[in-house]
Amino acid sequence: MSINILDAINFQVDTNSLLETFHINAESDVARQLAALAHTASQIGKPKAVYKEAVIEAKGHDYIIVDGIKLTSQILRTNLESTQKIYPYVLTCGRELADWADTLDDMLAAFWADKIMEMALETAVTAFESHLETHYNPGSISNMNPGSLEDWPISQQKKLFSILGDPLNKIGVQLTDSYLMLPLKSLSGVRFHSSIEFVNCQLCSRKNCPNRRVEYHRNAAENYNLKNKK
Amino acid sequence: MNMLNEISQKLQQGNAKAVKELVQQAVDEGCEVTAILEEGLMAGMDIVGEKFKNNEIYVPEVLIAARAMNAGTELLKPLLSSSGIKAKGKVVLGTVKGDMHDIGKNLVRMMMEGKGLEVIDLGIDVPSEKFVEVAEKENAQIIACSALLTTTMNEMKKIVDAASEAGIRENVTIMVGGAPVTDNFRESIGADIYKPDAASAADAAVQACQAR
Repeated sequence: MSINILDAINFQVDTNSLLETFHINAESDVARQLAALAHTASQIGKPKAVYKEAVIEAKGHDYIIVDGIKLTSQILRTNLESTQKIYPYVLTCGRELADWADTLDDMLAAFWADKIMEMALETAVTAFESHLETHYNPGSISNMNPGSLEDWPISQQKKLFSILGDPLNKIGVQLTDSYLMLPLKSLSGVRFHSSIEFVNCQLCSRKNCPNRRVEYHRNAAENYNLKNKK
Repeated sequence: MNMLNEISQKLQQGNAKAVKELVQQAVDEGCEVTAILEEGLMAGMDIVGEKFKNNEIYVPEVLIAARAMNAGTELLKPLLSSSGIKAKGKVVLGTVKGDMHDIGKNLVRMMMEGKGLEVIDLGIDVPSEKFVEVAEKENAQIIACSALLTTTMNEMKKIVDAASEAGIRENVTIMVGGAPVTDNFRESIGADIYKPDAASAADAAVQACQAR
């Protein structure tokens, strides 16, 4: 299956949205500094995505095999019971913005740049979803990310990257020895068709998480036979 | 309005230019440097920290206020060193090995500096031995380490162990923080203090230094 590289994603920083997010008076000096940063970021920002459609070659008790590479996760395996395809992906704000942010000494500017890079990553997510929908029409889809749940540990990033060839070469995303992606504002995972939406959060009991999308389901783990997992 | 109070007010508003001018004016008029620092700048930052803890303001407002504080302290630095005023304590701060996140760590640094602590910021991706080596060399009272990943938070245990192996564990308070870190985790690795936010961490650091 061919690999899709999205490297011409349009990115424009919405300065008004930033001002609102940061509770900044639009007439202030600080607002002018933020606007200047946003302007620069819009000029250099190149969010990117790489993904492919991959056929599941085999399924075991708690794993699947794709392109000869074994992804081990009871939850992933269970979620893929009724489908034979997955869409592994890596998305990023792009090295251009990350390198620019590294040059900012001022902590306030660095904080703003961090938010701008998040916006660029969100732009990459939107572009990826649109491309996926247009070209593969997978229908209702769900998402899983290595490292979000203990069952699919972050060390599996390496295998996910292998399925996509060389994301460093393709879109500039590097995997460190601790499985951290650089640029930091990058996202990896798999999308797959599912009639019932799966969200990682429903199996995560962490309290006060700012990124929680749905409530924790205490009994949901039993549906995935996690108690039987070694 | 009392000039020190005005410095505090302008700092809370994040008006760096006004803070700088007022601090200079206070110095020129013979105001004591310690009073400018403690009753003007640090008093203002204390209020900012309290508001942050109570979710009345958010990170950007804290950073803007901290920038205003820096504008004032830069003017005072030469006067503080010549007058022999000492920091309330010394902290070795950094993001653990394998982790590159620094926004939260930087916020902690600013809050601690705003409380009058001297902070030696080792940056990101810092090996456990480096934390201990610098703490020993600088005679720091606190090692404060940050991690944002479940894979890297285990490095904090290595810092605790390294401090023990170096024979400085009794001399140093080890603080841990970051999104995946909890007080249960802190207890499990034998660290001393966990705080969920930068302002609380700065308060706890001052208390720990005073207790030593």
